[in-house]
Amino acid sequence: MYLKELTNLNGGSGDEERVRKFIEEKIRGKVDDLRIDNLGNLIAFKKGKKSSLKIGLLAHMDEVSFMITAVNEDGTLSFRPVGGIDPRVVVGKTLRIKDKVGVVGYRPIHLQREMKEKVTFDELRINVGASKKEEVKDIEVGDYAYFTTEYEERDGFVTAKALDDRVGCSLMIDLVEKAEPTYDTFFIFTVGEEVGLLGSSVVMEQLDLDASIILEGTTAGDLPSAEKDRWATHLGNGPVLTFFHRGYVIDERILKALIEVAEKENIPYQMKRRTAGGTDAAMIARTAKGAPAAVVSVPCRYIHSPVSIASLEDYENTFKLVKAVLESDILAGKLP
Amino acid sequence: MKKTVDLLKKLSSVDAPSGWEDRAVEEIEKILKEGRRTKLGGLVHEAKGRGRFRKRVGVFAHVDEVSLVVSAEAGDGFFYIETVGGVDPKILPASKVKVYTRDGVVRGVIGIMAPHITPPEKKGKVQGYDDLLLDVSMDDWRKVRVGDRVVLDVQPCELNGKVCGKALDDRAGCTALILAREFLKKLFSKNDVYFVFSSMEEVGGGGAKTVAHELKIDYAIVVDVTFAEKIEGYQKIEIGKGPAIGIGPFIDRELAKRAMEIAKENGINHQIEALPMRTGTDADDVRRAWVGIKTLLLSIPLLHMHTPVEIVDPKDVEETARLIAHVAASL
Repeated sequence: MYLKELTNLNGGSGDEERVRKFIEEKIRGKVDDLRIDNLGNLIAFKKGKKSSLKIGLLAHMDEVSFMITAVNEDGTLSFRPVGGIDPRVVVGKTLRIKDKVGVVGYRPIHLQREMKEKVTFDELRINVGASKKEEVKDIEVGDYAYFTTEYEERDGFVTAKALDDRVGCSLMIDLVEKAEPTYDTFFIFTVGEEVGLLGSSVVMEQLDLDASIILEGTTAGDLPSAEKDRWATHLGNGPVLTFFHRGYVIDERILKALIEVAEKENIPYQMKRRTAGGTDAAMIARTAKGAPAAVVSVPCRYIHSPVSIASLEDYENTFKLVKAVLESDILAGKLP
Repeated sequence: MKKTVDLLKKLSSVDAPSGWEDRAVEEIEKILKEGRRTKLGGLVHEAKGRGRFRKRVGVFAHVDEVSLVVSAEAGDGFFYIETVGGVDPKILPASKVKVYTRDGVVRGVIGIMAPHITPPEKKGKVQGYDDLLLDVSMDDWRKVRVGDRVVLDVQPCELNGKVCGKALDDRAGCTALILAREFLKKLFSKNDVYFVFSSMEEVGGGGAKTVAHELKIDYAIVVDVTFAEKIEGYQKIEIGKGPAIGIGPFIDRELAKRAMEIAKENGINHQIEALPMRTGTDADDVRRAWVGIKTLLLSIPLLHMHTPVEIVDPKDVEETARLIAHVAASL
């Protein structure tokens, strides 16, 4: 498991270089082929015992982040999210820009006219300790800014930034190392998922997969403040299977195959009980000739924030499930 | 500069609403003398390179412009209209328009009720498309049918050296491509460069993306316009300071860096535009065409986008053209 290293790395959409490099170093020599495509997707190939099917595993390397959009006269920095971030999670936080840090302050409580005023990126600024533009050194418009949370592990749970989707990346490296796939398998680490499924949109034009499994860190929402029957997923209940999300309804054949394997191997699983959000599955299914896709996720609380939480037991069970699927021939009879 | 100004004015005055791009394509074809039509109504002009290992570079500008469409009959020479691409209804009252009918052009106006008889509750209210009426009663209005396209009847002008008119989004880009083609002849171009005048950008219709796929290009340079207004939270892009080179997840980073270096080496003014999400241009789709294309976005600063009084600085158009040529020749 490389969750610690991977979540501590910074890799926003369009700035995945550090994550890609780390993964490449880990899997080089353990796969039969490896290349980086025009958009920056890292595609590794591992030969299976049979070549009758081409299976793709996908996880996205990018995390939600920020971009500096202006260096202001007063020495502050304006910024915008790269990916979907609620501005409320940034207030009072520290961000990293290259080797510098800055803080996102806010008007003191005493000076606010209305306590429930809306926070917007229009007004938020990063303060790097400069009081005029000339004092801002080595930071330019277009630079990325990142949450600074360090990975922490406690009592079977991890707290980190970027669990969405370094958890998928870590699982994929584990699978490269430990799984003996039945069929030829492509391990595809994509770019730009958080800005609209960018990387995965060019995968099918290159690979013509027969089926794919997307590995994600998905939203939990298992909070006392939400009705229990409105929870999307629950930490500790095992890997999450998605049946429907934006732009794609999961193919019955693959969904049933995954359930069959989980039950046979006695691996706990849960269905995602919300249909919100979307994953690379939608692009794999609808670009070029298309291929059916499944989504298997580790439930994560508070995704798209600097403090997301996941259970290591869920991670382990997700690994087991996907490994078992890869090493089975369950998909053979199910695909045309 | 005179040539640039003339070209901008000429192309601005052509009417080519999205999907009905033929008039602009014909005009550009006349200027470039060579080219072939694309399936979706665009034009490709090829400039062969002389390198031993030639890359395929596509340079894109869209020829279509935002427009209006006749959406319903209101009787007696009056019609309702809708927008095709984003036209702000606030700019429409008291405008002259041209209606392109199957039987030729019919002239009309979009009127507004005189203040004397405007009821108090309607005074100062912004009129949406439901409240606006196209009035062609003064012309041969029986030729007008639902589905006919409407453009504002305005002529370009010069303002203190700047050019003002409609459709400079993206005829300014088209002008830059035409100038770049000329400029390229003076350079040693290693690469095969395809100048693509694409259709249907304003309706997200994929005119550029499909050509990118068909041509199987290695690199794309998308040339469009960008806001020269101050936007809260963003560094201001200014007119007269050269093309804005985009940076963001939809743009190839190395290519953007290379473009900045090339601009510096050749003394070409340029600005940086942060694009944290989608760019809102053909770059978003071209980047995802085929197996994924390394894409650069150059944007010409423009004021009052999607109005009949868009303003660009011809210097920016020329700087953009030089940058296109240098980048395309040397990749």
